[in-house]
Amino acid sequence: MKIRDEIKFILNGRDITLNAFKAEQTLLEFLRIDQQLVGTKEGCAEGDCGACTVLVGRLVNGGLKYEIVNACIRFLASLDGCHVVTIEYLSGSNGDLHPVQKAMVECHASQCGFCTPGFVMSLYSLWMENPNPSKRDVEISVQGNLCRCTGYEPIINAALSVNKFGNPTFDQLNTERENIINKLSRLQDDARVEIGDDNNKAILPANIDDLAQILEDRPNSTIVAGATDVGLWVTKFLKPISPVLFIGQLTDLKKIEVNDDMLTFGAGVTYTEIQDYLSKFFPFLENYWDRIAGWQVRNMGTIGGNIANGSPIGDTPPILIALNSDIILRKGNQIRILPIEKYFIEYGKQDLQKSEFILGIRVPLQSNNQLNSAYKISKRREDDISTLAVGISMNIENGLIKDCRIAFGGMAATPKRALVTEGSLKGKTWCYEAINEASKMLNEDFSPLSDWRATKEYRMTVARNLLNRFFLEHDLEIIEPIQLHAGF
Amino acid sequence: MQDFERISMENVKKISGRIHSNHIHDSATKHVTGLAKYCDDITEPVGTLHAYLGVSEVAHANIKKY
Repeated sequence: MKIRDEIKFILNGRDITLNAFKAEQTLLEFLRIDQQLVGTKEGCAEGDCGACTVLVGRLVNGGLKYEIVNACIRFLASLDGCHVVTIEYLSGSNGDLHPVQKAMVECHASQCGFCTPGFVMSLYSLWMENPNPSKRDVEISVQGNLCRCTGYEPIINAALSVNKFGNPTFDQLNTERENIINKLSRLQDDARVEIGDDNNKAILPANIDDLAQILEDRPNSTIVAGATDVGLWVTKFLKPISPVLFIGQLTDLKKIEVNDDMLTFGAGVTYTEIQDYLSKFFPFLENYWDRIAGWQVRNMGTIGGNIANGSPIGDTPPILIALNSDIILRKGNQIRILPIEKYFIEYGKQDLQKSEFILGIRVPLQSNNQLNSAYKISKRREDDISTLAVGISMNIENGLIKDCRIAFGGMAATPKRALVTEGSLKGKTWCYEAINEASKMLNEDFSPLSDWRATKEYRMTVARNLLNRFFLEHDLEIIEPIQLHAGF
Repeated sequence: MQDFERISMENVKKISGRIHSNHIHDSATKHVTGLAKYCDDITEPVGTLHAYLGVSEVAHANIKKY
């Protein structure tokens, strides 16, 4: 096994090689303090406000894909082999403004200006992918950017007008694309990367076998995939996380496969990477997916990580439980398959052995008789953590509820099935009365807590209402089912 | 210490145009390029002292020892 003791990446137009830095050093610290690139701002330091938005380009199937990320919670070590693009790279060498910047100026889209560099980066990414966006496309592209004084209207107007100021074909990231691909390809060497001494160590395993081996040798390692949760352990709780195993770069963990009746994907697959598959095989999740954080987080965060951290309010576990998914675990050379609901034992405790890690997730494809919905309730429509979330899946045959699975997040100390409610529904006629009666059973399944997101009474009432909403949206008797598009 | 730029009011560009005509924010170019300097963007000289307010816990009192 070849071991490399430095990371290499491209920062704007420069090659960077680093061999000594803290395992938990963030990209934002590196940019602002080490490199004095202070155009990228620190707002919340938790991946929420988007003031620190930068582009990270990486090789994907031989091509080069640029995505916006939050530099504040992106760890420096995870940039090995990437191209980092900051606000400083946008203006031409003669000081000419970039088309996105011109549009922002012309549309009066800045006031205090603090969030502006982040917005420019998000709109830059949008313009490169989609030069003629709809208003909805723009709104989704800036879900992860908060502005508290200018107002979103001029920013959206700017986004809609960027194409008047330039064509992305002539943008430097496109004209230099081949050159960057060649440079990044030369950096790929299939080596394990180890930075630092035993007190402070960052490791990028070479492949999955190597990851399994390192976890055997160092069972107390912190595994970091997208860092959208672990990043906060560092920036908010100042928690030491060394030794850190970075797995986001492992292409073996990013495989997505569809066979006859299963969608199987690796633990390193991000929300963005799975999106097309979900639209195709689980179209009911399309709207739900836009409710998960913002683009910056969806580009980094993984579904594997969302499960692994065991949070009771993760966005995906209730849905995956309702869809009867399994997780695939690996320890050494041993593989273990576990129904995902069994993984969550109690608050802070999961069914994960020493040196074991989540390898992948498999979700059964749906039959024609199956009705599915996913709902998320949060204080803010975009870019927020759920107050409660629910996945509901019912199998209706000949007007009867043959089977059903209902799983809630935010109603207990773990993501949890409503087994009593499910039991009371099985065999019943699919009708409003049956669903409404069953929704009253939810208090036998759950005793939710009051916290600053919601009171226990609110949680219970909303949970019942969501079950009724499920009926109204799916009622087969109604010729045009009611589609409730309200944000909350 | 760095001399702060003195601004003479005679040199400030006069506001022109009429009501209902939009003006570009005078810092807009700095905002969109990331060149606008905020407090945290200014490099601290080595050894910079930091001061914090210690707020009294009583409204009216004599300091007897410190």
